[in-house]
Amino acid sequence: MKEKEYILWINLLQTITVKNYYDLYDYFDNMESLYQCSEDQLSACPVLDDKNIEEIKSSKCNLLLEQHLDTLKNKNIEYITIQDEQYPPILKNIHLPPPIIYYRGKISNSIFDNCISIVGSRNASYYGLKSSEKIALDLASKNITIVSGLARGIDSMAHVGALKAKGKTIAILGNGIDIIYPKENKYLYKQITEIGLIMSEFPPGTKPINYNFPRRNRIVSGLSLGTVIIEAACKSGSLITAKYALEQGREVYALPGNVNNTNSKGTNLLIKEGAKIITSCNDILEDIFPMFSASDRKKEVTDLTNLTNEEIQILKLIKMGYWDSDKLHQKLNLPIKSINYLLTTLEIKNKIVIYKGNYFVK
Amino acid sequence: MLSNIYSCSINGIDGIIVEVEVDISSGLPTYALVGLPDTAIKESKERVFSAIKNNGFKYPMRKITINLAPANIKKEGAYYDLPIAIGILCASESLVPVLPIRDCVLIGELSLKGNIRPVKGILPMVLAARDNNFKTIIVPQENAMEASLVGGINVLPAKHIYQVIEYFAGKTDIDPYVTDIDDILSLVPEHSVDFNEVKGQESVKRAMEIAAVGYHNMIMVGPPGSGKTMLARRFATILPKLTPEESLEVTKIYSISGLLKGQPLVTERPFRSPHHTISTISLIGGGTFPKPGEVSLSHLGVLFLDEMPEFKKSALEVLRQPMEDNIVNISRVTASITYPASFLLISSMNPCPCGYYSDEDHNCQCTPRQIKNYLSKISGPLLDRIDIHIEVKQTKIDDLQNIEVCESSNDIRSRVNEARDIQLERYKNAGIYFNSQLSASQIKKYCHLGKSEESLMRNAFENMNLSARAYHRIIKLARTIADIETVEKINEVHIGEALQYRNLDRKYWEIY
Repeated sequence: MKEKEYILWINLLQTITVKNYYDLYDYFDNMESLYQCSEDQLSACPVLDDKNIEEIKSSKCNLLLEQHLDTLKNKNIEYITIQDEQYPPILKNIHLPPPIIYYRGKISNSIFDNCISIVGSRNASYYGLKSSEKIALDLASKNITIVSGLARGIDSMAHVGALKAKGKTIAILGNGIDIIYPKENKYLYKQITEIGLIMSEFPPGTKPINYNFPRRNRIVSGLSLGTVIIEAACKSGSLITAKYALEQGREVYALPGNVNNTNSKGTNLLIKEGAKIITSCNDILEDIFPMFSASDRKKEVTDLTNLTNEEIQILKLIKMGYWDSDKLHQKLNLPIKSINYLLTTLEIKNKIVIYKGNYFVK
Repeated sequence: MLSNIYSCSINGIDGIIVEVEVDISSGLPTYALVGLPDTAIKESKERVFSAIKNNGFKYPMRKITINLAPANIKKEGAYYDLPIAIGILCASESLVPVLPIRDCVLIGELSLKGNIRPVKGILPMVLAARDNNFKTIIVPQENAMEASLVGGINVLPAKHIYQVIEYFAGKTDIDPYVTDIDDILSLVPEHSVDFNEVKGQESVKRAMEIAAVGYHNMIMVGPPGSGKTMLARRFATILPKLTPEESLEVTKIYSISGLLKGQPLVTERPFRSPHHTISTISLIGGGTFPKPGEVSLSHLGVLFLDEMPEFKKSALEVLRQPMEDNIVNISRVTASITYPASFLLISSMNPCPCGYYSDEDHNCQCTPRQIKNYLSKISGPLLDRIDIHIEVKQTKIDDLQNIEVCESSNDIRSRVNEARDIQLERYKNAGIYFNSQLSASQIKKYCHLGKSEESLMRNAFENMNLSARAYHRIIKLARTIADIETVEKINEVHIGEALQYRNLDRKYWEIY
């Protein structure tokens, strides 16, 4: 057996924490010697207590590692250890990096090079979702890898944005890699495995349990040069990610939002505490990747060709916040029937989208 | 001696003629009543005995046999007191009728003194009598007005059994009761509510107008306090007027349910809003002796289900069959009955359990799973039968103050009536009344789409996340919208507007 597999074995044990692993590594120098050593040698090790030794013994008896390797093979799951060349170098710099990472997809040469993570609330507003998608799309089209957590809301939209740009994206899961959570992201999961990477430090079969998610967040921020918080409530997982990013010495960006919206209270708080304000991907590009930003800084304009005057008028009003037919009716004094017709044509021309019963400019 | 008197019974919402045969023969005094009578009819013996005795006639102390034919139909109610009493008097020859008693139908409950008490379900019985070519019907005084709505038959109101006896003996006359149905119908009922009290909400008002014209079922989605119930209550004020035939049909149902409450005729389309704790049976109709449920009581009118997901799922699912067939079949041990149930369903719901999912000023506290469970109470097949889905938003206080004049219900109603006439004219040979009733083959015939309309539909289905089952619904809606504008050909604008009324088909709760 190879050293890689011994590392896999020791990390499978429930009673051995990541910290224990690094202590053991310092003590034994490699995991093979730990696997081979006698009971006396084990009890002599100051890192291990009785429970640890008990589990090590039993795992050898019931062929835990062999079974696990079989499972990985059957489920088509691969893994890298901290000693592998492929292991993302940037992740090694954080406190207690995961010794084992399970993954699906393909680790290409440059996927870990320029990573930016985008995280935020699961129950987001249209503003948040759209910003998430847009920033992810713009960054991904500059060949920057988008890292997120495949959760509902902002996270999913970040992946969607990266996929739309045909860019690279990495999803870090807080559960076993063979479990798709939330379920509705099944299709997204499949797409990411084809184009990017799904990673998890938890062994396959680990259920999504809430206390695992903050632990996952340290990898999200740890992989990235900077973390963008799109929308977050005051006490939320996204703020935990921001905290990790600061501890790891990475940049934290926050999208400013409506002060009355609970979803923006967390991000506004971050800004107050010194996070960088982000209003478009250019803020990140200028900050971290000056080589990308210099060229095109053209203003965002909605394409108005093929639109009638009335449609343009409605489009402008929707941008200003007149986002349902009643508001448009009051402003324009056009009958509802004409407004509904214009909304339909605008939708067909792919200029506006309906979300939670309101219209938004795409 | 044998005597034959005609009376009436109710089966479903229709009356059937019952022949009351009385035979008196010599033997020990007995009283046998046959022909599947219920308890109320069996007890008539005592009432009839006292009524005859207290009016100075002699009750025959012989063997009395009474048969209610046809004998295989269960009969209930106290309609037969009067015919039985008259039958006994004829059979015992205390009364020798000079008038042709076999051309006459008698209905009425007797008091011990001989007064005639009102009964329920008069209207369908009078209709049955007329259709069976009877010339005269004697009804309790209190029911006379309701009975007289049916033309073509002499309605004689009676207060006391003595009046009836005198009448058949040729001693006195009873004046027929006459009313003109058009007079009653022309009295436009005053509504206590009006659409001009609702400020803003123009898009919902428009949707309601479309619903009223084409009789399209409608669901309103919105946060609490946005005015869904307020709007629904005003919906009745813009419904097209009842035609005399429709009015009689509705009155029949209310008559057998005993819900007429003094008024002779239902002159307005019914508006029923049952509470969400309603049982399946009271919604659909039934019971040991079947009675019409809410779906039949809202026949030709509106059934309003407020907070639809709060209704029992089983109760909602039973709506599917009447919504499709416009009738309800109820089978019980005692009878198998068909009630009409052609109603317009208006329902309202919140977008999520807390109600604020789509509200910009509140934060929704619901988890995705809670929302999913809440919405799943309204099944796909049920949603399939609802043509109009409309979002109701909270109106801001500033908007309320800015709006000065709103259209009144009467203005909207006149447009509705006009568009309704177009449909009646178009479908006069098609066996339907409204656009919502169009079948797939009829859509081809009556809703022709040009090339540009076809391509608009195709583009819309590609770009707007619509499910295929919405296709026919949209065309029907577009047909109605064209009718409101009195245009025969459906154009792009009509379809464009109709497409905006299918929100729930469009994965409303998801973005990607």
